[in-house]
Amino acid sequence: MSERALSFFHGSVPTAVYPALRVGLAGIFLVRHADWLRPWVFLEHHRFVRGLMFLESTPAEPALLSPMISGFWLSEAATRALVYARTLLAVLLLLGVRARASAVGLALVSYALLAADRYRYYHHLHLLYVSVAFLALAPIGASWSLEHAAARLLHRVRGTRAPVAPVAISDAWPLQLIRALPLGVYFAAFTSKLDPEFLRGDVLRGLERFQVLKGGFWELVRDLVGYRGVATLAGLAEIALPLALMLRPTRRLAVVLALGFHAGISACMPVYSFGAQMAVLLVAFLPQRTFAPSRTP
Amino acid sequence: MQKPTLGEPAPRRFPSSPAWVDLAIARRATGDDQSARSFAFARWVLMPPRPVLVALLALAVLPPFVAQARGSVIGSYTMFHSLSRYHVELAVVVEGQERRVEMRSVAPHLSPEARTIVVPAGGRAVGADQVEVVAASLPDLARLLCALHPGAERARAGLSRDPFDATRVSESSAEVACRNAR
Repeated sequence: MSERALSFFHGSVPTAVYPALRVGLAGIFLVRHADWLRPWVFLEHHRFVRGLMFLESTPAEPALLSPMISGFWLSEAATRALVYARTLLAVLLLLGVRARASAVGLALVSYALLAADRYRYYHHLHLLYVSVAFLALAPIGASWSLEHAAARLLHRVRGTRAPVAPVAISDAWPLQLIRALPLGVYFAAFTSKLDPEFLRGDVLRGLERFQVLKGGFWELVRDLVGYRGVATLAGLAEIALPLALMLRPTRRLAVVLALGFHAGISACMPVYSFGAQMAVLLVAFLPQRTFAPSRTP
Repeated sequence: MQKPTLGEPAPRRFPSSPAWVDLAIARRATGDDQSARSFAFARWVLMPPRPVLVALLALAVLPPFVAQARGSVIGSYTMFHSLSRYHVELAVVVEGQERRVEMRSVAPHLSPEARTIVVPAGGRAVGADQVEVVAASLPDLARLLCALHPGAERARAGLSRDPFDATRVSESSAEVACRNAR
């Protein structure tokens, strides 16, 4: 592999991007896996999530066991323990307490719960879990961290100098890997739509008929360009956006366009937290890499 | 390396990395085997070797395409690319006679997530990726029927689906022999 290709991983970025991703994804995680916000705002997942997700209403015995991995099913007690562990780890991740370890633990626990019942699978949950797993590679606890704030407070009380000074720049390679996640999503969504049935607009017509696509914004776009036009535009967006995100000169414009794209999708159909997750992952494209001398010993 | 004094900690050289990375790098000068090993690992954490980085990049990008190539929904990010009507039919064979099993009798034995997808399929349900999930779970549904009907010799779960075109119906089913058959 050429040096030029491998320089993809080199360079530095502002450290703040990593805690920003951590807080954004952990916040979405906590909102998506429970119904805390029900008293204030009704979100799509509140239709079937009561309390903590996967904790409610155990099926009668004998229960359907349909794990993704043969033989990997969880008892009610194990499910309960993992759901509580998942919630605790998400709170620790949000607060930046043992942030990297919390991210690893959260990804593992979440995948265990997902794998125990194939009916729990949603694309956006898988994307959320894999994003959290990749966060563990980055210095996500470097700032905006309760742990560091407590340490600084303790040192101030004791009158000693805090051992960890906030650091302005960090390695870019974890960010490059995190950027690859939404790019993969866009490319995969594009390739899946290279289907005559979708491109003719037939799928969109069906989604509308069954009330999956609805709302004023959908009707406006449909009337403007038609079913076939929307299908073609969706496919074009899913190939153009990742390409524009990959190129430095178009990157920031692509972030703005992608945010609009996801806002539009979220206005038309139930995609749960997918739009918000992509919006947070798009934050990864905002910092520019700089190529200061390497800090690697 | 000057030993840090209490109250005047040495400034961290790699402050965004875990503290032990700094420690391992600072101990490099001692030259013993253990410090050499921890130095190598610390350097690995700061910037993993190129093959590891390339493998991580492949792990971030390639799985959706592998899933699509295998025809698997899990991890494929096929966002509403198709829509199907689907119907699940459940049956058990008792004393040589096939008997249809009503979906509502099975519903209490499904997880809430399974219930929202499987129960509507007792009639005609509409779905995108969830149809593939139902198809993958047919053997599990058949095994559940065996557990629910202790006298059954065999159990069958069948799925028929079509893209809103009665001429393009595709069917799949799973049949299992019940262990508890008399």
